[in-house]
Amino acid sequence: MTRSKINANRLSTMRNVALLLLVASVWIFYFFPIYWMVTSSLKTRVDTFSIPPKWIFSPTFQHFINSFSDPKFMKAVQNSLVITVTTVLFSLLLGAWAAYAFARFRFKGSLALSFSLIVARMMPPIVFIVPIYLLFNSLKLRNTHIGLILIFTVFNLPFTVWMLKSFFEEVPIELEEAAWIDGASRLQALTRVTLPLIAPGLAATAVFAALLAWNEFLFALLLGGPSTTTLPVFLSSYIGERTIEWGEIMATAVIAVVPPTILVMLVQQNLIKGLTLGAVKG
Amino acid sequence: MASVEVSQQGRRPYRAEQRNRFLGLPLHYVLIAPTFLIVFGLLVYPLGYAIGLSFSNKILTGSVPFKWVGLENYIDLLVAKSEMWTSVWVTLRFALVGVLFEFIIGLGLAMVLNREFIGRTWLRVGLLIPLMVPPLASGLVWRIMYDDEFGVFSHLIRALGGDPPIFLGDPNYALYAVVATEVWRSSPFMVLVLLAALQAQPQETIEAAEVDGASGWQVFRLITLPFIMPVIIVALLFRTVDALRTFDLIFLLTAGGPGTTTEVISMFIYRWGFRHFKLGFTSAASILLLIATLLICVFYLRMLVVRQAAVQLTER
Repeated sequence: MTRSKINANRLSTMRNVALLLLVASVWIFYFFPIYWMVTSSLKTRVDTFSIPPKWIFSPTFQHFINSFSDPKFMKAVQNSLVITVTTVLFSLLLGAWAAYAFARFRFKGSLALSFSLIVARMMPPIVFIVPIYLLFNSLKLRNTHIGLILIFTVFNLPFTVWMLKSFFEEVPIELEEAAWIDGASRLQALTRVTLPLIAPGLAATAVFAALLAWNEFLFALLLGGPSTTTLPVFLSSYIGERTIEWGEIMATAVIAVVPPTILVMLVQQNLIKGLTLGAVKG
Repeated sequence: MASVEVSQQGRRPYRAEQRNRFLGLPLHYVLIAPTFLIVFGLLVYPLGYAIGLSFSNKILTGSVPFKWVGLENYIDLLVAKSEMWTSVWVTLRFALVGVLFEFIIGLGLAMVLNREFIGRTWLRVGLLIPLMVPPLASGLVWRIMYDDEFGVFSHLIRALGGDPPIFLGDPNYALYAVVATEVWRSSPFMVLVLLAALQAQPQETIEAAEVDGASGWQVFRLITLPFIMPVIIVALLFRTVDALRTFDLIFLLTAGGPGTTTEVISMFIYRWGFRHFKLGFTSAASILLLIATLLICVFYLRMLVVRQAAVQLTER
């Protein structure tokens, strides 16, 4: 072996070690809070408050049992599930038509209208909170499930439309035209040809819409009430209590993390599209 | 109803005009109608309402008689009371420092992940973690980690012989503690989006440049960077507007405190609207925030357009 080759080998070994260290530190940075969340939820009260923190301890599932036997918590889970699922259905059912129109038709104002949705997506929700609060007050929509579903749907629609638009655009119109020539109607071509092709896209859109609804906090806090408490609002209610029950809080947090984790795993393929409204392909 | 009508039309011989109409109306308008009706009803109409309110002294509790006050709220916000400017400054520091770190981490890790190496898949999976955690849950766990007595950070600093600050209660540190949480939560977005851009880059151009003797830095600056620039702009746009709207994380970690040192503009609006119930004043602040967000969007989109124009010119 020549000297330069040995050097090159040594260099690549060093590079590999550096990369490995990087991978490890990145993992620790991103994973540590989750590790802390899970272990805190399994520690007894005494272990939680020990100084220095205990790294090795005997786990207890008491906090999870407490959470699941708390009717307020179970109600929050139920509210979150009902509101999330309905919001997703509404956004997809309303948004799909508009997405199809924007993907397949060029008409007067189509560009302006579709971009107005992007602008709506960019606006901070807090801007709308005062008038919507007053509007919901007079329509008796505060503290109702349907009120929250409506407002979540509105803030989901711009995303849903753009996401589905990008998936519709991936299917060449020639496929639909071929179906028309074979005698299919526009709707038949859509349901038999295009929709099956974009099924993964539909699923990804549904998942992202679900994540948005599941995590929504501002409107759930200010427009909701005792009978619509969602999981995020329930979690936030722990803050401000004098004796903070860390174990219990972390147990509820862990439970709140599970559904999004499963959902993100399911849509890994379309993750980038979902994160950027279909602007960047993954 | 809709489906029946369309499919009946379909059985007739193929005629484009007919296919594109529904009950005599242009089909595309019918299709977008539901979306825009609900968006108009629950976004545009309330916005108009807010503009109206912003010229009034409306108080939620009705303790003061309703009165039109003209531009008084705007003058209070922009000139008379300096409170909003404090909040604007906090928001800007939060957004700029946060997005800057996210971008540095994002581009760095994306470049690393763009190569083949052992553990690459693991790194990518690790990045997904913060994306899965609901903001409220991540806020809670960071709050616990920041605790000045039992928190793990305080412990680590003590173990190293230091004197830990009260992270979330110290005016000097609170904002940066919140920024660190935000970077943890949002940098994966940057990494994944920039990585997608890097992977879309055709390998041939890089190889051709290397054959021509370009150095690694030259390849990056002259080929890779221009190629991924539009995606960088889009990613920065998304992160900036998201940072401007941050509410849940601040609400949970510090609620704007200590004092108003972490009171971002969303918290400011929340406090005046739902703690002091001054809806007219709050509406005026909302309208200003709306205008500021629009300006930022225009700024980024202009960059995108100028960029594309430049690319088209050089391609000719």
